[in-house]
Amino acid sequence: MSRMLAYDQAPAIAVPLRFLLAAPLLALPAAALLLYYGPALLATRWSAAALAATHLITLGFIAHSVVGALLQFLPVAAGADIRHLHRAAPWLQALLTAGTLLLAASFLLESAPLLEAAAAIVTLVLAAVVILAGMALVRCTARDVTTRTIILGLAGLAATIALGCLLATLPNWAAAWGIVELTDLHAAWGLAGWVTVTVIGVALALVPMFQITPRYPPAVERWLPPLIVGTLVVLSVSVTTGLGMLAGLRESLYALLASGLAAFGVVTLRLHRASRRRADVSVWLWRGGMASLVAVALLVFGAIPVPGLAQLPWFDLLIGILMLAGFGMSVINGMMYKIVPFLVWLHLQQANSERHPLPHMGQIIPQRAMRWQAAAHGVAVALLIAALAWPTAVYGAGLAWTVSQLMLAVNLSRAAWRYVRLKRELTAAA
Amino acid sequence: MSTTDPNGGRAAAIVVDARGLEPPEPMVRVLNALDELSRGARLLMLIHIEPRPLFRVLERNQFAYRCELKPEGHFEVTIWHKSQ
Repeated sequence: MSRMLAYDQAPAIAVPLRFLLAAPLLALPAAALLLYYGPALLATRWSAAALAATHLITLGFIAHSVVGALLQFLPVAAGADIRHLHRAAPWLQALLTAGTLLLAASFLLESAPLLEAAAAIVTLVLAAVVILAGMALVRCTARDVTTRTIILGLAGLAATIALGCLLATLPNWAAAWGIVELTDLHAAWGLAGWVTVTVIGVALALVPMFQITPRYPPAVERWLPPLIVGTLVVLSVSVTTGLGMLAGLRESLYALLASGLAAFGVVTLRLHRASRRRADVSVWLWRGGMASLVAVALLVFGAIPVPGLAQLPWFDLLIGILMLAGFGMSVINGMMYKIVPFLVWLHLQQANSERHPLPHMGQIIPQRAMRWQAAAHGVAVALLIAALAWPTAVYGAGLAWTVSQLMLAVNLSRAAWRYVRLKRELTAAA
Repeated sequence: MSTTDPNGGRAAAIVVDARGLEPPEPMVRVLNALDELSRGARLLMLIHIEPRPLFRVLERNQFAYRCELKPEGHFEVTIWHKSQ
C-alpha cells in the first residue's frame, strides 16, 4: 500500500505544516492586544488596536491556514500542478508572517510608511498565490464544483487585497469613493468573497469526506458561490458609481449576501444532522461556525426594519467577531484537526515500506486535548461577544483566547513532533 | 474520468464497502485489497463520496477504473489491472 500512496505532485509535509503551525502563533498577539488595550479595543471598529487585531486574525490565522491547506489540497484533490508554489513555500510563509506583523505594528504605531511597506509585502505574497494557484487551477483537467469554487475564492482574495492595498497606499484616491464605503467593501470581499467562498469550496469536498455527511445539494454546489461573488461585484459597482445613491440598494445587496451565508450555514447544519456518525470535535467546531453565519444573517435582516441599528458602534463589531472568530477561526480549527492527523498518517505510510504498526489517524492528536482546546475557543468567542455589553469581559476573552491558541499550537506541534519521531524510527528500522 | 471495463458484466472478485468510513480507512482498505487483486479480476468499491485522490493513485499504478453514481446516492468504483 505504501508504494502506491506516493503522490507525485503532493508536497513534502513541511510545506502545508509550516503555514498551519504558524497560524495559532500569529493569533496570540491578538490576544495580547485584547489584554493590553482592554475595553478600548472594542470601543469602535476603527481603533488602532481593533484594526491590528483584525489583521492578525485575517492574515495571521486565516490566510496562513488557507494558503497552507490549498498547497496540500490543490494537487491531491484537484490534480493542480503547483510545484513552483511548493518550492517557494518557505519564502512565501516568511514574507506573509513578516507582512502580517508589520501591518499590525503599522496600525498600532499609526505609521503611514510602515503601513505602505506592510501592504506591499502582503500584496506581493498573496498576489503570487492568487496568480500561480489560479493559473494551475484553470489549466487542470478536473474542473469540478470544488475547483470552480476555489477559483472564485481566489478572485475574492484578489479583490480583497486590491482594495486593501488601495486603502493603505492611496488614501486620498480612496477618499473619492468614501473611506468607510471602501473599507466596508474590503471587509465584505474578504469575509464573504474570499473566506466564505473558499470555505464552501473546501467544504464541498471535505465535509462529506471527513465528517461523513451526505453530499451538499447540487443547487448549493453550483449556484451559491457565484451568487455570493456576483452580489459582491454588483455591490462594488454600486459603491464606485452613482448607483450607490439609489435608496435601499446597498442594504438589499448586503441582505442578499447575508442570505447566501445563511443558506450555507443552514444546509451544513442539516447535513450534520443527517449524518449517522456521532459528532466529534471537528463537527462541533463547524456547528459553531455555521451558527455564527446564521447569526450574522439575522443581524443584517434585523437591521433593515430598525432605523439606526446598523449605525450603533457594537453592530459592526458583533458582525466582525461572529465572522472572524465565530465562523472563520472555528471552521479552520475544526478542519485542522482532520487535515493535520491525515497528513501525518499519509506521510508515515509512504515511508513505511516494511509495514510496521503505526498509530491510527485518530490517535495522532489526543481527543481530550482537542476537546479542551475547542471548549477554550468557544469560551473566548462567547466572552468577546459578551464584552460588547459588559466591557470588562474583554479580559476574560483575552485569557481564553490565549489558552485556546496556545493549546492549538501545542496540539498541532505534538502531531508534527510525533511525525518526526516515528519517521526517524522508520528510517532507522529500514 | 472512467475507462472502458473489459470485464463489464462479470462479478467482482473482491468487494470493499467503504460507505460511512472516515479517511484514511477507505483508501487503506482498497489499497490493501488491490495488493491481492489478481490480473483479470475486478475489485468493486462502494463509497459515499467520489474518491478523487484514489483515481490518481490508480492511474499511476497501472490500474483502470470506472466510477458510477448510483441512484441510492453512493458511488461504485470498479477497478482492474490495465494489463491483463
